[in-house]
Amino acid sequence: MNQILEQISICIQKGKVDSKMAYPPEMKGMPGADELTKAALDEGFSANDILSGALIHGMGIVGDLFREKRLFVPQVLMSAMAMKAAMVHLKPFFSSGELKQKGTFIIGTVAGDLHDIGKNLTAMMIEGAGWRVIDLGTDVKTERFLEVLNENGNAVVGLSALLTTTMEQMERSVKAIREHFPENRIVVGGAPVNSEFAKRIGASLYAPNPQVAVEYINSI
Amino acid sequence: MIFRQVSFGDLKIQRSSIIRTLFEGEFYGGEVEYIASLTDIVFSEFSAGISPSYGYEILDIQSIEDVSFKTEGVRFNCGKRVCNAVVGAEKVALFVATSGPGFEEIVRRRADDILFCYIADCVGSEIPEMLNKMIERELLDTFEPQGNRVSKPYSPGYCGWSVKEQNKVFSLLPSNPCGVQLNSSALMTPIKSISGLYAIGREVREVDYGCSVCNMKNCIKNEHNYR
Repeated sequence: MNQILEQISICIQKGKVDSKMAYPPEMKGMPGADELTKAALDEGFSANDILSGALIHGMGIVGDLFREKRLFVPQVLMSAMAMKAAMVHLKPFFSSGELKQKGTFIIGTVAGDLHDIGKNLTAMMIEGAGWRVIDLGTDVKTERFLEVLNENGNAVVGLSALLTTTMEQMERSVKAIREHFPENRIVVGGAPVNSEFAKRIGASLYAPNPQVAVEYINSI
Repeated sequence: MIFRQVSFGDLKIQRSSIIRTLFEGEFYGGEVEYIASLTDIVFSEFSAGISPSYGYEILDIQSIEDVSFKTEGVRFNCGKRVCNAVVGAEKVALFVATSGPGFEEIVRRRADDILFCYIADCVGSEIPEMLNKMIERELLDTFEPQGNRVSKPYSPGYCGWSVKEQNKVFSLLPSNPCGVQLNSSALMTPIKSISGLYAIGREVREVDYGCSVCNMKNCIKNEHNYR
């Protein structure tokens, strides 16, 4: 990998946003994902090279380490912040059409549940993998999922639940989505959910962690 | 209703326990130091901007069935596990505890800083739990000397007790207790709030939360984290 792309990838992995950020101590004062992405564009790297060769690469490593429990949520969030700082420079290339997202992922925590950490992490990792993410937030009614699916025909949809008592709501939402959009893929996750439950309610996949969701939707 | 307002400092939330939660007990070097410094900022903002409170009402139980009990003419369909905790009780303490609106204001102000918001969320989740411990202490101080026992707290949304039953809890408390409101899904605002019951009586038994379907290590309902 080219040196500057590798540096950007390392910034993503370490969560180094910019030169002002004191963390990590060994990179204090050094440029972060923000400055390096700009520099890479100035050096003539295409937006696509930066996105796939540095940002998605870096976030992929973060996702693997998170799955292996070698990184924890705060570190993933720092990586997501670095990714966000880099993406600011790439945004115009999405608008111009030079960069294309892999697809659309609609995500939300089901009705009756306000928990959002797992959902937010998954949304960030999926965005970091090059997807457009529509985050519907928490306490999302089934009708809202259907409404947004109507506007985004081929989207993959992700549902999260943390309460055992809202698993029933997850089941209702998945069944309604299946009924109206039989071809769309549905990913479910959350602490009380498991693959047996996912299969029983008609979801396409149970994702025990964000990286499993990323790998699955990338394989579609 | 008995009502108390406390300061964030009164809750005695330990920075070390927050760090342990954030890193799932696995400690590293530089990251921990950096996150600890951000946690200090969260503590400082919460100390200045949060006014936690709690309140509870002690009510006589009228009847107990297999999966429900009745108080003040309201039947709570709390499910078998919670009902097992209520069996043997003569009274219930229906409670609400909340961080107050300050939590959401701080998080809203810092919305762009997802790491701060995450740490704030972890600290914020501790607030109702620590308030719960205060309620429990008060109940024990009041009822234990008369030979009564006090159960663990049970909340709608957990242990098979539907979250919608939160409406019934609130129906027996003053309007917007501690400033907490329910939305159409029976969820509370401010979000860092908790409601539920304690069973009180001479024959109250210890009943596990029984969260066998859930693997959340840090959940307060996890037996290892309680008491």
